[in-house]
Amino acid sequence: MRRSSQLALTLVTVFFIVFIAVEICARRHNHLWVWLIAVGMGFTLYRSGLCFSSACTDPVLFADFGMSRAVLLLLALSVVGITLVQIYAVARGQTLPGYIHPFGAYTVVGGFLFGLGMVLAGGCVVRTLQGIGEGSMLFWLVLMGLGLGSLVGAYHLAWWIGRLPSAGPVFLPAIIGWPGSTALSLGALAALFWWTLRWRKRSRGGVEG
Amino acid sequence: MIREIDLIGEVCPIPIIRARQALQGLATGDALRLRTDYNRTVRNLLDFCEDEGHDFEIDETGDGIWLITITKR
Repeated sequence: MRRSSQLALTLVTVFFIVFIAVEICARRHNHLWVWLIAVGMGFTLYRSGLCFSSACTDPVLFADFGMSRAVLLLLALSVVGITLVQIYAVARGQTLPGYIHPFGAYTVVGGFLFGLGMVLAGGCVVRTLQGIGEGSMLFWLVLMGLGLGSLVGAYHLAWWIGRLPSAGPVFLPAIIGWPGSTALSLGALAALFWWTLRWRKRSRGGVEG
Repeated sequence: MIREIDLIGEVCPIPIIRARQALQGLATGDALRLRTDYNRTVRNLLDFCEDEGHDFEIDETGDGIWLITITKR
Protein backbone atom coordinates (compact mmCIF):
# COMPACT_ATOMS: atom_id res chain seq x y z
CA MET A 1 0.00 0.00 0.00
CA ARG A 2 1.35 3.41 -0.97
CA ARG A 3 0.59 6.24 1.42
CA SER A 4 0.90 10.02 1.06
CA SER A 5 2.79 11.75 3.88
CA GLN A 6 0.74 13.61 6.47
CA LEU A 7 3.66 14.64 8.68
CA ALA A 8 2.66 18.32 8.79
CA LEU A 9 -0.91 17.50 9.83
CA THR A 10 0.34 15.08 12.49
CA LEU A 11 2.67 17.72 13.94
CA VAL A 12 -0.14 20.31 14.02
CA THR A 13 -2.42 17.81 15.79
CA VAL A 14 0.22 16.90 18.39
CA PHE A 15 0.91 20.60 18.97
CA PHE A 16 -2.84 21.24 19.45
CA ILE A 17 -3.15 18.38 21.98
CA VAL A 18 -0.12 19.57 23.96
CA PHE A 19 -1.26 23.23 23.77
CA ILE A 20 -4.69 22.39 25.22
CA ALA A 21 -3.05 20.21 27.92
CA VAL A 22 -0.75 23.09 28.93
CA GLU A 23 -3.70 25.51 28.97
CA ILE A 24 -5.67 23.15 31.22
CA CYS A 25 -2.67 22.75 33.55
CA ALA A 26 -2.33 26.52 33.76
CA ARG A 27 -5.98 27.00 34.66
CA ARG A 28 -7.44 23.86 36.29
CA HIS A 29 -4.70 21.23 36.37
CA ASN A 30 -6.94 18.67 38.11
CA HIS A 31 -8.96 18.47 34.86
CA LEU A 32 -5.98 17.36 32.76
CA TRP A 33 -6.96 13.69 33.03
CA VAL A 34 -10.36 14.49 31.41
CA TRP A 35 -8.55 15.90 28.35
CA LEU A 36 -6.15 12.94 28.20
CA ILE A 37 -9.02 10.42 28.45
CA ALA A 38 -10.89 12.34 25.71
CA VAL A 39 -7.84 12.25 23.41
CA GLY A 40 -7.33 8.54 24.19
CA MET A 41 -10.98 7.77 23.45
CA GLY A 42 -10.86 9.71 20.19
CA PHE A 43 -7.75 7.86 19.06
CA THR A 44 -9.25 4.49 20.06
CA LEU A 45 -12.47 5.26 18.18
CA TYR A 46 -10.52 6.29 15.09
CA ARG A 47 -8.27 3.22 15.08
CA SER A 48 -11.07 0.78 15.90
CA GLY A 49 -13.56 2.32 13.49
CA LEU A 50 -16.33 1.52 15.97
CA CYS A 51 -19.68 2.10 14.29
CA PHE A 52 -23.10 1.31 15.72
CA SER A 53 -24.57 1.71 12.26
CA SER A 54 -22.31 -1.04 10.84
CA ALA A 55 -23.08 -3.18 13.89
CA CYS A 56 -26.74 -3.08 12.84
CA THR A 57 -26.43 -3.16 9.04
CA ASP A 58 -23.45 -5.50 8.41
CA PRO A 59 -25.19 -8.63 9.80
CA VAL A 60 -28.22 -7.99 7.56
CA LEU A 61 -26.35 -6.98 4.41
CA PHE A 62 -23.19 -9.10 4.57
CA ALA A 63 -23.72 -11.69 7.36
CA ASP A 64 -20.73 -9.98 8.99
CA PHE A 65 -20.95 -9.84 12.79
CA GLY A 66 -17.48 -8.43 13.54
CA MET A 67 -18.70 -4.94 14.43
CA SER A 68 -21.76 -6.32 16.25
CA ARG A 69 -19.48 -8.35 18.50
CA ALA A 70 -17.28 -5.30 19.12
CA VAL A 71 -20.36 -3.34 20.23
CA LEU A 72 -21.53 -6.23 22.45
CA LEU A 73 -18.08 -6.32 24.06
CA LEU A 74 -18.23 -2.56 24.56
CA LEU A 75 -21.65 -2.87 26.22
CA ALA A 76 -20.40 -5.67 28.50
CA LEU A 77 -17.43 -3.53 29.61
CA SER A 78 -19.80 -0.59 30.14
CA VAL A 79 -22.13 -2.70 32.29
CA VAL A 80 -19.23 -3.73 34.54
CA GLY A 81 -17.80 -0.19 34.70
CA ILE A 82 -21.10 1.57 35.38
CA THR A 83 -22.09 -1.04 37.98
CA LEU A 84 -18.82 -0.52 39.86
CA VAL A 85 -19.23 3.27 39.76
CA GLN A 86 -22.83 3.02 40.99
CA ILE A 87 -21.98 0.57 43.81
CA TYR A 88 -19.13 2.85 44.89
CA ALA A 89 -21.44 5.90 44.93
CA VAL A 90 -24.23 4.09 46.81
CA ALA A 91 -21.77 2.68 49.38
CA ARG A 92 -20.57 6.23 50.08
CA GLY A 93 -24.13 7.53 50.42
CA GLN A 94 -23.90 9.63 47.24
CA THR A 95 -26.60 10.17 44.60
CA LEU A 96 -26.81 7.29 42.12
CA PRO A 97 -24.82 8.32 39.01
CA GLY A 98 -26.39 7.85 35.57
CA TYR A 99 -29.88 8.32 34.20
CA ILE A 100 -32.69 5.80 34.65
CA HIS A 101 -35.29 6.71 32.06
CA PRO A 102 -38.88 5.51 31.63
CA PHE A 103 -39.63 3.80 28.33
CA GLY A 104 -42.61 3.18 26.10
CA ALA A 105 -43.84 2.89 22.53
CA TYR A 106 -42.29 6.31 21.89
CA THR A 107 -38.88 4.70 22.55
CA VAL A 108 -39.55 2.29 19.69
CA VAL A 109 -40.67 5.14 17.38
CA GLY A 110 -37.59 7.18 18.32
CA GLY A 111 -35.33 4.16 17.81
CA PHE A 112 -36.80 3.53 14.37
CA LEU A 113 -36.42 7.16 13.27
CA PHE A 114 -32.86 7.31 14.63
CA GLY A 115 -31.99 4.02 12.92
CA LEU A 116 -33.42 5.25 9.62
CA GLY A 117 -31.43 8.47 9.81
CA MET A 118 -28.30 6.58 10.85
CA VAL A 119 -28.41 4.24 7.86
CA LEU A 120 -29.24 7.04 5.38
CA ALA A 121 -26.44 9.23 6.75
CA GLY A 122 -23.93 6.37 6.67
CA GLY A 123 -23.07 6.46 10.35
CA CYS A 124 -24.13 6.83 13.96
CA VAL A 125 -23.06 9.70 16.21
CA VAL A 126 -19.70 8.04 16.90
CA ARG A 127 -19.05 7.48 13.20
CA THR A 128 -20.09 11.07 12.44
CA LEU A 129 -17.53 12.43 14.91
CA GLN A 130 -14.89 10.10 13.46
CA GLY A 131 -15.74 11.32 9.96
CA ILE A 132 -15.39 14.97 11.01
CA GLY A 133 -12.07 14.15 12.68
CA GLU A 134 -10.91 12.53 9.45
CA GLY A 135 -11.75 15.71 7.54
CA SER A 136 -14.96 14.62 5.81
CA MET A 137 -17.14 17.64 5.03
CA LEU A 138 -20.13 15.35 4.44
CA PHE A 139 -20.26 14.45 8.13
CA TRP A 140 -20.54 18.13 9.11
CA LEU A 141 -23.86 18.05 7.29
CA VAL A 142 -24.79 14.85 9.16
CA LEU A 143 -23.85 16.52 12.47
CA MET A 144 -26.14 19.45 11.65
CA GLY A 145 -28.94 16.97 10.92
CA LEU A 146 -28.22 15.24 14.22
CA GLY A 147 -28.41 18.51 16.12
CA LEU A 148 -31.60 19.55 14.35
CA GLY A 149 -33.21 16.12 14.89
CA SER A 150 -32.30 16.12 18.59
CA LEU A 151 -33.72 19.63 18.97
CA VAL A 152 -37.01 18.71 17.29
CA GLY A 153 -37.15 15.43 19.26
CA ALA A 154 -36.61 17.17 22.61
CA TYR A 155 -39.18 19.85 21.72
CA HIS A 156 -41.80 17.31 20.60
CA LEU A 157 -41.16 14.50 23.14
CA ALA A 158 -44.02 15.47 25.47
CA TRP A 159 -46.50 15.05 22.58
CA TRP A 160 -45.39 11.42 22.05
CA ILE A 161 -45.26 10.57 25.75
CA GLY A 162 -48.82 11.87 26.21
CA ARG A 163 -50.25 9.77 23.34
CA LEU A 164 -48.37 6.46 23.39
CA PRO A 165 -48.32 3.72 26.06
CA SER A 166 -45.36 3.86 28.40
CA ALA A 167 -43.94 2.26 31.53
CA GLY A 168 -42.05 3.72 34.48
CA PRO A 169 -38.29 3.47 34.81
CA VAL A 170 -36.91 0.03 35.71
CA PHE A 171 -33.77 -0.14 37.83
CA LEU A 172 -32.81 -3.83 37.93
CA PRO A 173 -30.50 -3.68 40.99
CA ALA A 174 -33.45 -2.41 43.06
CA ILE A 175 -35.46 -5.51 42.03
CA ILE A 176 -32.94 -8.39 41.90
CA GLY A 177 -29.88 -6.88 43.56
CA TRP A 178 -26.49 -5.84 42.16
CA PRO A 179 -25.09 -9.36 41.53
CA GLY A 180 -28.34 -10.54 39.91
CA SER A 181 -28.72 -7.49 37.65
CA THR A 182 -25.07 -7.61 36.57
CA ALA A 183 -25.27 -11.35 35.87
CA LEU A 184 -28.52 -10.90 33.93
CA SER A 185 -27.13 -8.07 31.78
CA LEU A 186 -23.84 -9.86 31.09
CA GLY A 187 -25.66 -13.13 30.47
CA ALA A 188 -27.95 -11.49 27.88
CA LEU A 189 -24.96 -9.92 26.12
CA ALA A 190 -23.03 -13.23 26.21
CA ALA A 191 -26.06 -15.02 24.72
CA LEU A 192 -26.19 -12.49 21.88
CA PHE A 193 -22.42 -12.87 21.32
CA TRP A 194 -22.76 -16.66 21.16
CA TRP A 195 -25.71 -16.30 18.77
CA THR A 196 -23.63 -14.14 16.37
CA LEU A 197 -20.92 -16.85 16.32
CA ARG A 198 -23.49 -19.55 15.59
CA TRP A 199 -25.15 -17.49 12.84
CA ARG A 200 -21.79 -16.73 11.22
CA LYS A 201 -20.87 -20.42 11.27
CA ARG A 202 -24.20 -21.42 9.73
CA SER A 203 -24.07 -18.73 7.01
CA ARG A 204 -20.58 -19.97 6.01
CA GLY A 205 -21.57 -23.61 5.84
CA GLY A 206 -19.99 -24.55 9.14
CA VAL A 207 -16.77 -22.59 8.67
CA GLU A 208 -16.06 -20.04 11.34
CA GLY A 209 -14.60 -16.76 10.10
CA MET B 1 -10.59 -7.08 -18.17
CA ILE B 2 -10.57 -4.14 -15.76
CA ARG B 3 -13.79 -2.56 -14.55
CA GLU B 4 -13.69 0.84 -12.85
CA ILE B 5 -16.09 2.30 -10.30
CA ASP B 6 -15.99 5.82 -8.86
CA LEU B 7 -17.12 5.77 -5.23
CA ILE B 8 -16.15 9.34 -4.35
CA GLY B 9 -18.71 10.75 -1.92
CA GLU B 10 -20.23 7.35 -1.12
CA VAL B 11 -20.28 6.15 2.50
CA CYS B 12 -20.98 2.79 4.14
CA PRO B 13 -22.50 0.46 3.26
CA ILE B 14 -22.89 1.56 -0.40
CA PRO B 15 -19.23 1.05 -1.49
CA ILE B 16 -19.16 -2.56 -0.27
CA ILE B 17 -22.51 -3.36 -1.88
CA ARG B 18 -21.40 -1.89 -5.23
CA ALA B 19 -18.03 -3.65 -5.07
CA ARG B 20 -19.69 -7.01 -4.34
CA GLN B 21 -22.21 -6.53 -7.16
CA ALA B 22 -19.47 -5.58 -9.62
CA LEU B 23 -17.30 -8.54 -8.63
CA GLN B 24 -20.18 -10.94 -9.24
CA GLY B 25 -20.19 -9.88 -12.89
CA LEU B 26 -16.45 -10.47 -13.34
CA ALA B 27 -14.59 -13.67 -14.26
CA THR B 28 -11.68 -15.08 -12.27
CA GLY B 29 -8.55 -13.07 -13.03
CA ASP B 30 -10.51 -9.91 -13.95
CA ALA B 31 -9.83 -6.75 -11.96
CA LEU B 32 -12.06 -4.18 -10.31
CA ARG B 33 -10.63 -0.69 -9.73
CA LEU B 34 -12.37 1.55 -7.21
CA ARG B 35 -11.75 5.17 -6.25
CA THR B 36 -12.92 6.20 -2.80
CA ASP B 37 -12.49 9.07 -0.36
CA TYR B 38 -13.91 7.14 2.58
CA ASN B 39 -11.23 5.44 4.67
CA ARG B 40 -13.72 2.97 6.17
CA THR B 41 -14.31 1.66 2.64
CA VAL B 42 -10.61 0.83 2.35
CA ARG B 43 -10.62 -1.16 5.58
CA ASN B 44 -13.92 -2.89 4.80
CA LEU B 45 -12.82 -3.86 1.29
CA LEU B 46 -9.52 -5.12 2.63
CA ASP B 47 -11.37 -7.35 5.14
CA PHE B 48 -13.78 -8.46 2.40
CA CYS B 49 -10.95 -9.43 0.02
CA GLU B 50 -9.13 -11.36 2.75
CA ASP B 51 -12.36 -13.18 3.61
CA GLU B 52 -13.12 -14.04 -0.03
CA GLY B 53 -9.52 -14.73 -1.08
CA HIS B 54 -9.28 -11.96 -3.71
CA ASP B 55 -5.99 -10.17 -4.39
CA PHE B 56 -5.98 -6.46 -3.69
CA GLU B 57 -3.72 -3.47 -4.01
CA ILE B 58 -4.24 -0.08 -2.39
CA ASP B 59 -2.69 3.24 -3.45
CA GLU B 60 -3.29 6.58 -1.79
CA THR B 61 -3.34 8.76 -4.89
CA GLY B 62 -3.93 12.00 -2.98
CA ASP B 63 -4.78 13.18 0.51
CA GLY B 64 -7.78 11.08 1.46
CA ILE B 65 -8.25 9.53 -2.01
CA TRP B 66 -7.57 5.83 -2.40
CA LEU B 67 -7.41 3.64 -5.50
CA ILE B 68 -8.19 0.02 -4.72
CA THR B 69 -7.55 -2.69 -7.29
CA ILE B 70 -9.18 -6.04 -6.60
CA THR B 71 -8.28 -9.06 -8.71
CA LYS B 72 -10.97 -11.71 -8.54
CA ARG B 73 -9.83 -15.18 -7.41
